[in-house]
Amino acid sequence: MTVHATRRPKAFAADRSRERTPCICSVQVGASASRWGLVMPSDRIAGRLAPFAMVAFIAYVLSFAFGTTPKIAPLILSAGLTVLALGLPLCFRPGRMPRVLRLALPGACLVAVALLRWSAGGQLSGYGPLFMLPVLWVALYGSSAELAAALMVLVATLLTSASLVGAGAFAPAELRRTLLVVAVASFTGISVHRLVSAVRAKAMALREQTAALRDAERRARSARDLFAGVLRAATECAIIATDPDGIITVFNEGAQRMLGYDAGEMVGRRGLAALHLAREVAQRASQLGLEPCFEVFAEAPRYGIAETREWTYVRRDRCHLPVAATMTAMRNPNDEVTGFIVIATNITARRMEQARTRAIIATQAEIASAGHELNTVMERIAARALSLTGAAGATVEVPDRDEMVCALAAGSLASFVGMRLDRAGSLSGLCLAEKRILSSEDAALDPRVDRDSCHQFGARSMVAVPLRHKETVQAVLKVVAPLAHAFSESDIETLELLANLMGAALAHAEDYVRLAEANSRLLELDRLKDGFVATASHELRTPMASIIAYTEMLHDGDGGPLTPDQERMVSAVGRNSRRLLGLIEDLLALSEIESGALKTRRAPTELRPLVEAVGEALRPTAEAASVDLQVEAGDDVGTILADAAQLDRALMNVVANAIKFSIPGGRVDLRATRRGALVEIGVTDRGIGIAPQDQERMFERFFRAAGARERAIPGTGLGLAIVKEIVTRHGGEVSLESKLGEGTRVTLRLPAAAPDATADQVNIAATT
Amino acid sequence: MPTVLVVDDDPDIRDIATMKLEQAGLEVVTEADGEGGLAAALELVPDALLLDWMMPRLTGIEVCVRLREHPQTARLPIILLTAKAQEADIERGFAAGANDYIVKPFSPRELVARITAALARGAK
Repeated sequence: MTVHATRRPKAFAADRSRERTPCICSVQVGASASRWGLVMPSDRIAGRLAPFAMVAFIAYVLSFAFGTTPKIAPLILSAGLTVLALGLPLCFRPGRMPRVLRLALPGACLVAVALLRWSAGGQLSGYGPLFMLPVLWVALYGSSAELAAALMVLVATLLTSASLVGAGAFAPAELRRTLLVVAVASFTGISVHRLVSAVRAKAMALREQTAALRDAERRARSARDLFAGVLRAATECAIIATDPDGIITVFNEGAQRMLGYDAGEMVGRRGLAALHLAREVAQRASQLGLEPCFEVFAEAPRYGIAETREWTYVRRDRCHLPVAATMTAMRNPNDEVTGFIVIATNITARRMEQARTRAIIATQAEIASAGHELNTVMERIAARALSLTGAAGATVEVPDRDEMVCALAAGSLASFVGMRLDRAGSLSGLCLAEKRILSSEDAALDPRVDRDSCHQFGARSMVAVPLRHKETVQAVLKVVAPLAHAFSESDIETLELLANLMGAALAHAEDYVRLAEANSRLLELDRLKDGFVATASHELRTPMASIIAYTEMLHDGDGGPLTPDQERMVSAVGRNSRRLLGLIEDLLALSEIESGALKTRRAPTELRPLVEAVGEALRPTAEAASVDLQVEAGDDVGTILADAAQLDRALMNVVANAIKFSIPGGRVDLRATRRGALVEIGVTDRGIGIAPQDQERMFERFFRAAGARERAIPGTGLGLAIVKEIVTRHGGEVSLESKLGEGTRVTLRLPAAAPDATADQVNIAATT
Repeated sequence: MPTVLVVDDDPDIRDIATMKLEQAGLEVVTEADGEGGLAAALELVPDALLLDWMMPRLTGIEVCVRLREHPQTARLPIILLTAKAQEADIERGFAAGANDYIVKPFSPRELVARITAALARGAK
């Protein structure tokens, strides 16, 4: 008999060892019950033997009753063997009897019967049935091999006893009887054996099946228990199972707690839709293009999509509860949907957190938009503190010597603005000292605070948060509530966030004020600076104008003829006033450059005319110094992007220097040439030259070379500094080569203007 | 004889200009402030105007601009004579309608030369 198992889908194959659900294992019960052997049913040996003992007893009685006087010896032997055969198994524990003895027993029985027969005179007829007994016994409890053996022993015994008895074993009648006995015994024995084997096999199969079923049942039960345990333990989670139509089949404790319904009210009675808000269901239905029905929830899970959505459940007391619910389909091994399972968690806390975060972000936005009005910012933050934590009142307190002064108050404490508290007995004072958040859950029991003033303010629980910026604590934000233990950890966190915002706002406001002041000071200075140069320029020039004009007029004789001495004096005055004017102009120019007021406005400028103009302007000076000034500007020199006035001044300074430092009869060359993308302007003199150690300092302000100082050649030391500044602003560079006693060459290199160059303005703040 | 109106709050300048211009054979009228200068210019309509810039109350630039608005003085040769020597100032001066710009300190000879040239230009 073979029983096959129904196998679960492959996915579960790996889990077989841990399977809790019922599974009928494959069992093959063969036709051979060989493992039974001659195992006596343990507790029934006596029972099984009893019939045989009875029969044996009856046999003996009969033999006496109906037979002739028996021979004593064989009778006793027979009886003894019988007793042995029947009693021996009792000495052994079931299944422990050695196989040899097991085989010998039926033999012994047969021999006992033969002896009995012999003792009774040797007639077979009465004893035929008695031979059956051992054979039957073996047929019932032995294997087929043992049955065959028993039958052979029977045959042997019969033949032997026949010959022993001497009734002529091979007499036809006797032989016939013997064969008959053997045949009957065999037939009966074999039939019985087969029957018994079949029955036994069936019984075993049944037993195994029952055991397997019991096993399966046990596993199913433990699985069920586990499931129930899970459902019970998940008290924070609502686990709701439904049948394919949506009627609730499982409603765990978590669901009962969450929704207020008893399992009994829901299971088998109401559908999942009963928990939902009709409006949301309708909304989702229209999104999916369905009618509002169970399919709205079931569609996605049916297709294997485990969907988590936020819903609003309606509790038994009609309260709304926001949940996040995941629904999946349960399938049987044929892959048909047998129901659905919903796991829902209460997201009220999450929603509150989200709302809180949104509120804080909104506060930050408010603060940003409030700009720099510190009071507005602080008031808004205080208002938020009240709304987010559910506090009754809020204050911002600042320290003033031994007291804390209420600088800002909102909510229930609004009327206490300006109020002063001793630092010693106030939570805010302590907070300021310790520079950390302090919370008093019940002012009535807190030794740190002054109970009376707390009572006066209606403050039973309080939280004080330091308003920090960088390392300093300037003020304290305090919130109060009339009930004890009013502020949760979450509230304290919120307050900390708000306090940080406040601290930052305070610091920003201060920074802003400081910066605004500094800025207006700087602007003022800038204005003054710009004005200075212009004013100084004007103020210095005006008196110089009078001096120079009158001096010239005197010199020209407009005030009357001059004596030679007068003329000499007037010349000196004129010379010196022009020199003074030069100094003033140089100083003003440098001042202008350094203050950053100088604006270089560059425009495409023809270089050749500019160079030639400089030459012309200085020709008188050169002639007066007996210096030959040669100007040369090639046709290809072209255009550069330059502020003509400034470039003019720079060139003037360089050429004037060259003339100044030439020796009478010397020569100064002003040459402008084009070299690729650059324009080079060179001024060469054959004058006194510059010592090597001075050369690199020539462009420094106020620097005068040793040669100039020694020879008392007039100059401020500013000319080349101005030239360098101007050249730099034009994007070029200036360099100097000199040999003491032989002359100096100053070269300006400026970028040529691109053909399409346009004017621009170079505003450079003060250099060095 | 061509008339030149000299407007400057600095007495030295008035003196120097008068001396040199009369020496050159021109008639000179002087005014010491902007309002006086403006009124005199409109009334006299001189042949040339030498105008200082930095004067209290009404500045030379303002006088120049206003004179340009009146038809009789719209073409009047105006020479700005001023210690305001920045390039921006020079631009402003010409933008206000001045024909010439002399920076103080100046050479009196040059001054006479410029005024003479302006007169010659204006007469054409």
